[in-house]
Amino acid sequence: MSEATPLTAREAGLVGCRRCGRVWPIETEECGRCGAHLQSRDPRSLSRVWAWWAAGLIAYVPANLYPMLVTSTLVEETQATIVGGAVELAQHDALGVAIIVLVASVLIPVGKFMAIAFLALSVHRQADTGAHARHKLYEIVEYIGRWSMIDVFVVAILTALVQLNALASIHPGPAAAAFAASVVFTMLSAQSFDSRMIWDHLGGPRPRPRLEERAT
Amino acid sequence: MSDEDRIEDVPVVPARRSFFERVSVVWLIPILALVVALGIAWQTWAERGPTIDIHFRNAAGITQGETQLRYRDVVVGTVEEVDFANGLDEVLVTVRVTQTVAPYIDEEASFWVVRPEVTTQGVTGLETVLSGVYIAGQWDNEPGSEVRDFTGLAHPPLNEGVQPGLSFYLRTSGTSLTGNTPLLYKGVEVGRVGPARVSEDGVTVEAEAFIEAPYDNLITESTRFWDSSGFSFTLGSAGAALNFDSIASLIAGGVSFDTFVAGGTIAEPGDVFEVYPERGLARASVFNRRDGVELTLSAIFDEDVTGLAAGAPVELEGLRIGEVTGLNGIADAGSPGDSAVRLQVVFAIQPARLGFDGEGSETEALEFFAQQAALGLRARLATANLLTGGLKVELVRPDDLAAGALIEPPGEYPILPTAPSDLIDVGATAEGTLARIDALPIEELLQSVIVFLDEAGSLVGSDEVQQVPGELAGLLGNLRGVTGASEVQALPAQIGAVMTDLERSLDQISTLVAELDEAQAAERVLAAIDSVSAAAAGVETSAEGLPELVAEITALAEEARGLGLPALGQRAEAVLASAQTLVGGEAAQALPAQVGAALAEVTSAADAVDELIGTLNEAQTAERIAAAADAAAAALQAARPGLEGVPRLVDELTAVAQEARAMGLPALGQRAGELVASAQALVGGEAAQALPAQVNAALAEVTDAAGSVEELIGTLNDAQTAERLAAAADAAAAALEAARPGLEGVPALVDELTAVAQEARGLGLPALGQQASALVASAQNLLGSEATQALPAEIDAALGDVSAVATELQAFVAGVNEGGTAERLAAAADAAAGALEAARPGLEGVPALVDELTLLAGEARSMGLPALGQEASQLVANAQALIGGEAAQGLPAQASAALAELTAATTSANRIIAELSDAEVATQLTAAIENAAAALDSVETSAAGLPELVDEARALVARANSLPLETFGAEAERFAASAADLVASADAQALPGQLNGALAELSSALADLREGGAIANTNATLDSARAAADAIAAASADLPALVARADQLAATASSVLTGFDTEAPALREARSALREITRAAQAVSELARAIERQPNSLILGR
Repeated sequence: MSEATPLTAREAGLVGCRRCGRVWPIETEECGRCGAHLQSRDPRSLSRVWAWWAAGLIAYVPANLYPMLVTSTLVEETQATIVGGAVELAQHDALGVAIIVLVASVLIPVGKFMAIAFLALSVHRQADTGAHARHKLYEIVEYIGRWSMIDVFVVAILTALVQLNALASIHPGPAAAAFAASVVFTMLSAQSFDSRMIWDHLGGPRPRPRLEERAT
Repeated sequence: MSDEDRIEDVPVVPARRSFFERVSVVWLIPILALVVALGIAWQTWAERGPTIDIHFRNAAGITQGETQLRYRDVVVGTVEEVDFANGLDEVLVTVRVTQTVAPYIDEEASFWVVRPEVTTQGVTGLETVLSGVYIAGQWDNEPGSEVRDFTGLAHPPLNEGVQPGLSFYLRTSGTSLTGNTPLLYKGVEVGRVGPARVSEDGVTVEAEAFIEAPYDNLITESTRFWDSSGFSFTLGSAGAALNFDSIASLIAGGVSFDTFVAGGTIAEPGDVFEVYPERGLARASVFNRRDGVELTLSAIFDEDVTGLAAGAPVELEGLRIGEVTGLNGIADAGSPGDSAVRLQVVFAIQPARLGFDGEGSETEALEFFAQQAALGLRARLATANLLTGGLKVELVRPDDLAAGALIEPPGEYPILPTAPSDLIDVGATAEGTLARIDALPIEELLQSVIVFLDEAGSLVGSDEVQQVPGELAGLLGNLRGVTGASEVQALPAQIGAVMTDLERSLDQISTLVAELDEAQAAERVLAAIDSVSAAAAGVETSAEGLPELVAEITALAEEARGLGLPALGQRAEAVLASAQTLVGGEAAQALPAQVGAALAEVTSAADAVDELIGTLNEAQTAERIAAAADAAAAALQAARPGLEGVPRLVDELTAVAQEARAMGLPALGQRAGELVASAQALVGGEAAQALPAQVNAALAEVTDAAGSVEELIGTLNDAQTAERLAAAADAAAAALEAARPGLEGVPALVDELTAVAQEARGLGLPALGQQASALVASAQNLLGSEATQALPAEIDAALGDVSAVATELQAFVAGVNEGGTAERLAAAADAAAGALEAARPGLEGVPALVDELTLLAGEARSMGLPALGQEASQLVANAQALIGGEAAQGLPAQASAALAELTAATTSANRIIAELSDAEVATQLTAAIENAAAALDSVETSAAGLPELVDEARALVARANSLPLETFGAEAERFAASAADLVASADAQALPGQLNGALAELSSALADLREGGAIANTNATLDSARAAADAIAAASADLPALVARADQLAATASSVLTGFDTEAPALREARSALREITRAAQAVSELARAIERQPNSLILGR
């Protein structure tokens, strides 16, 4: 921790409104400007993070096991899972598309799971990783999470477009819903994370805000 | 205690928050997801059915995880694994089946792979082309013991789909069994034949067959199967036969079956049936098995049985009942008188085909045949096939029967009697035909044909014939063009119309020709035209002589100035006094009034006539009126020469005046003054003054009448009065012919008078004056005679009579109109016409009279002028006396009255004509006018001949002039003296009396006319009016010249009179008279100019 220890608002006895950004004294319950509820730290943040995270992980399993896309042509009916589809694309020399699919459908979700888990754990365990880096990671996770839905969008568009009755038709497989649910869950997980906790306990033991309040 | 009471600084450990406080509600979501996932996984596992293993020879098209197992086309399983069985001999397909069907899959289940298959029966399994093959399973619907290992079938089972039906086997020892073909019954596919396979012993070919449920009842023990694939062609005694079941079976093949015999038990599953190559054999097999009994008969034929063979049919009435089984030659020793070898035909008859069935059918059949043979059944040979010459045995009943019966020799076949064969020996017939053909003179025929063809070729090859087709084509094209033209198409209708018109025209032409033939109109018109021409020429010639005459008179007047005027003046004065008294007389004064009355009467008469003519038109008396017009025309024509002589007479009077001028002028002047005064009084009388107006009115009326007449003429033409006009033209021609001599005499007379004047100038004027005085004196005496004086009175009376006649006529016409006696009037008109015709010769004498007068004048000229003068003087005196008579004095008044009457009459005529116009006779008049125009043309040409006549007359006169004048003068003197004597003679003096008598007679004649010839007179009046109008028109052409000459004469007279004393009353009177005359002349001149400007006004009435 070569950098200077930052002063948090909480340590300064202030609380910022997360809606309008107004800073109030810490004992203020309600934002005088926008009326939002003021809370210096969300004590159940981590719990919700883990809950969403688990749900997303559960949904992610069938999303990869079940077929994502059911392609019915005149001749045959093809059921392709996410990874299977990407592999098939790669076999058809569409390597770029395969990579995109893989990145969007596999790499990003998995990376999100890992990143969220790391952030949550880092709050618990007082990780040494720099607070700035972790905050950056959090921002990346929150920003990139939405792009995981690209696969779902592709499926939806293809389903809508390719409806040639008997000749050819594309239906979304069970994995599509599961994948969409997984993405939604991970996004909610990332959102549930109170990023202010990254900055707590820097250079000191983990404070117990509630305890101190009661103590005083 | 206090220590103890001191509350230790106990570390306050915040109460651990409860689980629910610490754990977010959000945790429910992953838990729920987990539960759902686990639930799904468990359900999937729980619903999995068992797997079965099916062994196949190969796994063509079977895909792991995709290929389905279907039962009745319902997916009941999926291939999970495809693997090899032990030793790689078979393919082991592991199929996971659903739990629902798993219990039913027992040991009877069979599986096969459904692949697309194209056979002659069609295409099956087409859906698998796209969806991929699938495994079809078949099992019953009863759960059985669990079996999990099966062997798949190589081919689908026949009763695919587990239909109810009958499975059996077909077998054949030949090659007539084709596998995988439909099973046909009457062409309908009712089942299938499976693949054929050779039986285990290798002797037969077997195939499984399956017939569907409704049809399995058709299969009995007696059902026969045959191969209906392809076709069969047989050529036998029954002829050629091409057999095949249907086109479909021809292509796809098939096994047909039929049960030819009813009855029999229904086949059991697994029965084996024989398949026959064809239907006939299959059918025959039935009988072969059924008719165990056969009746064998025989027949012995004497004839050649070539073509008859074993197996030939035996037919009864066309029904095949058996076949020939054998042919034997037998030498019948038993037959008397015949040792020839005969042919015995043995044939077998199946009684079943005759309806004899069951036990003892053979005997029954034999009895039947015996019975039939007795009735005339015979066996005979017949041609079974014309081409092959095959024979058959017929059992028939020929008409010409020989006695016979079925013979049943013991130990032999029963013998059926025979009949002569009914063979059709095609060969023999053909042979005979060929022989006849061979006998034909083909060589000669061919030669003739060759020659003919050569000639025909040369003919056809000739250029003319070659051109024929082209010409024919062109001709046909032209014909087509002609006949196709719209004009030609319309031709029949036009021809019809033309024929109708022609018919009508021919009718009209025939009628017209008939009329023309009857009337001979053309000739008459031409003659009339010639006459008119001649007359016109004569007039022209005489007119040419007038200027000369005037010049002579002028010269004479100049010389007369040198004469001793006093004596002559006194005499003239006396004459004039007499004339004055005459003119001044009451009768003369009353004459115009009377004339007016007469004219009024005529007017009223015309009114009556108007009505009469209407009646006449109604009575259709046009023909008769036309005839009357004819006569009137003739009469007027006859009268015209006499009228034409008047100018001549005027000329002569002029000459007389000239000579009188040579007389003593003073006395003559006084007399003349008195005479002029009287004349002035006469002329100045109101009646005389009214004359011009009346004349004008009359002329206007005439004009109107002419306009109406024009229309009337058209109407008359319509009335087909052409013939009568022609007749009138004839009459006119005749009249003109008669008048022409008189006209021809006029120029001569004028010439003569001219010569007289010339000679008179050369004479001694004093003597002449004396003689003239004497002549005037004589004339004075003559005129002064009582008879002459009474003449005007007589004329007056005559005019009165005329008026009375007119009155009577009016009354008569009124009566006629009322009485409706138009026909009678018409008859009267006819009569009048006849009368006028008769009167014409008398009128024709007038020209002769004129001629004689001319001669007389000529002779008078040759007399000594002095004596002639005396005589003339006397004559003048007499004339003066005559003129001075009261009757003469009353003439102008009567003339005036007559003119008034004429005016009224023309008015009436106008009305009549208007009515006639209404009667639509205008067109006829138009035609008449055209005829008149043609006639005028002829007149023109004839006028050219007149100068010659005048020339001749002149030459004659010239010769007379060349005579010695002195002797001529002496003779003339003598002659004049004689004439004077003659004039002075009692006979001459009695002339006026005679004239009076004549007038009286005329009056009486008119009185008679009013009783008898009123209608004719009316017609004549109308015709005269028309002729007068014509004459006026003709005269109007000469009027300008006449007026000019009158002017000259007036000028001359004026210069003469200037020599007189202006103070003398006679001269004054004469001057005033001259002024009057001049005024009258001017009026006439105006009239003439008016007519000249509008000549048509005379006709058209404007």
